[in-house]
Amino acid sequence: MSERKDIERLFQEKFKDFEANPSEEIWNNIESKLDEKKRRRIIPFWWKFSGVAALFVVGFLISKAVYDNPFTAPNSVITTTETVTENKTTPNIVSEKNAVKNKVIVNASKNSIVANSSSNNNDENTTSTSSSLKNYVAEETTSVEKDGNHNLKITKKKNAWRRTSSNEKNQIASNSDKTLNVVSNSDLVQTNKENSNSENTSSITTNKELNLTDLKGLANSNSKIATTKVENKISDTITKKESIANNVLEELLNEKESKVKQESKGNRWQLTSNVAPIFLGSIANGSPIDPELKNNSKSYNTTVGFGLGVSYAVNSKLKIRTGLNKFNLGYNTNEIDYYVGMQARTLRNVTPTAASAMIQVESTATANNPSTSLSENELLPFENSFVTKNKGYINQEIGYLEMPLEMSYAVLDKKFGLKIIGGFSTLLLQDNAITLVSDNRTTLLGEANNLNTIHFSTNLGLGLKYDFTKSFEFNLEPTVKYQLNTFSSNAGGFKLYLFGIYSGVSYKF
Amino acid sequence: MDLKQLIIDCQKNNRKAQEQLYRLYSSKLFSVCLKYSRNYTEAEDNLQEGFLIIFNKIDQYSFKGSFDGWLKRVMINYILQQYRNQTFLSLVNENIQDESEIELDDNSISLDYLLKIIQELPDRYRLVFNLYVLDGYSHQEIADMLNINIGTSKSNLSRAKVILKEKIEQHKNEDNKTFPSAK
Repeated sequence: MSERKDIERLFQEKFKDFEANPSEEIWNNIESKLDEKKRRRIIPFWWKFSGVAALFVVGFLISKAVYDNPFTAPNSVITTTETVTENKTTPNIVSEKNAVKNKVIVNASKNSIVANSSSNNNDENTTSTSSSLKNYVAEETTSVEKDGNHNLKITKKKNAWRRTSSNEKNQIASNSDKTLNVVSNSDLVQTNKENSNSENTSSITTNKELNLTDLKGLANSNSKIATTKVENKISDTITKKESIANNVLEELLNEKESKVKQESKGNRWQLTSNVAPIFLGSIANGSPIDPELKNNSKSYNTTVGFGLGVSYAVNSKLKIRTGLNKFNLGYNTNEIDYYVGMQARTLRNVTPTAASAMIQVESTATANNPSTSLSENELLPFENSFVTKNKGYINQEIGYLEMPLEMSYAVLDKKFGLKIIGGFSTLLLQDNAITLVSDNRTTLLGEANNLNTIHFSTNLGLGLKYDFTKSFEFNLEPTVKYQLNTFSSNAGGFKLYLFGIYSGVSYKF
Repeated sequence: MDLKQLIIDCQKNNRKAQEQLYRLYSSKLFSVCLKYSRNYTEAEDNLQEGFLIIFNKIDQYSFKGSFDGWLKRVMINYILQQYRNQTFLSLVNENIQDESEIELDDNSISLDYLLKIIQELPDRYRLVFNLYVLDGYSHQEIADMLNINIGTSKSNLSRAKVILKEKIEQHKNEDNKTFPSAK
């Protein structure tokens, strides 16, 4: 039977209930890929932690390498030797500069200035000039590093200006006897220009560290540059041309200076204030006061800590931070009986005050069981009959000054940010008191004698931040601090940990 | 069996639930893959990857609209994505053809053969034909999905139909030649 049919209808009808069974293998593939995904999800979680740990090590090594051994960059060595051979007249400066350890790359063009000023001035000036030179080097690299492409262009342009101006200067200088310098300098400038682009990028990391130290001296050295200039002007008869060149240089210097002020400081440092409710806990039973109180229930007080911190951004993700926090810890040992006995046995780990030496303290639980109670036996027979036992609890209060040293790694860094914080703290014992509290009175029992005056904690936390202006941000950092060696001995397995929710405002500068 | 519970379990990444969901829908979605892909192996690959995406995105399903439809949409979108970055060969003769009718014996043509000739269509013709004829998308929707304009979609469709018609007629003639006595 034949009928005319629209081709669309034909396909629609045929495919209406079209289903096809795929082979069993497909599900197996899907399943194994789902497993793979699950596994993959776990790995990065641990990677991040090991990453933080690795960064600690790497950061430490880098900083050590940079501070201990400034001569690591092979490029600077090459360039310097070149300078040494060509600038025979200024060997001092070159070696000085070498010692300064900065790269010559961008700034060998400065040689021309140095050469000039040293030829103009006498030996007295050499040192100051070269020190100014090193700072200039720092400036230069900072500005390049700080604002990427845009400024790279500017710097390049300025290099060009400087080249012409320094050449002019050199021409004048050559009138005396510095012909050799002129040639070598301009050559150097040439090579520099070429070098600066490619090598800046590679030197950025090293320079970051260097800049910091160098920047400090910047203010000083700038004034030195100024004086050198003045001296230059006085000591030599200056042609018009030269003074113009000088002005250009000065302008450049000023520009650089202001730029450095604005940019190199670019938000690497951060000041933080924090306030935190601190929750205390112990991961094991035990009593640091007396072994007998081991099984008494403890209640931990929530206290408030506060502090100041400073952090330094090693790079966009990693920050090192330290600071000073003050906080007190307190907990109560409940179910305590106490009474006055003539031969009172004091608590094991408490150094009593004169007044409290007669107070006998024991756990309610032990007191009710005479056979195990040592203290019961210590009562003289006649005392037993008239002694009245009071109920109460013992409060131990410990105050610390904490110096954390932590690193934070930014997982997310937008307006809202997330970071992982890890590190350790050094804690100095400040307050130490054990008091006996009952319904109607509080009596000081004495000081705990098993608290270390210095102990450490390991810290792990999660940091949330919210930028509300460019330099102010709000922080919230729930952190666990596990106390390593709070008690020197006899803590009976008492291991403290703190959980603090540190919140505060920080200021970048 | 409660479908809603099954979906919720899948959203919790429960492997058993995922397998059950696969068993329920794999044949339906495999048919989609067969229609939109160039051949059987490619359809299998698409089914596999598509299901991984479904399991990945299933927590985005908010129980509005039919689950069948959602699954199919995710699968089709995944397959279209394979072609999206690919520049289609611009085929000659983009002008719209007349509507085509075909005369044929009702049961003379097998589904397998129709599937085969769909798969043999050039990529974009196949996609447009499937989307419009078999899955009921409008030309506007197709234009958006494939990032082409409506006119192109229409002309692709009619070109696809012409090709299919030619192939069916050719097939019919071959049948007649092989079994002349059957008629």
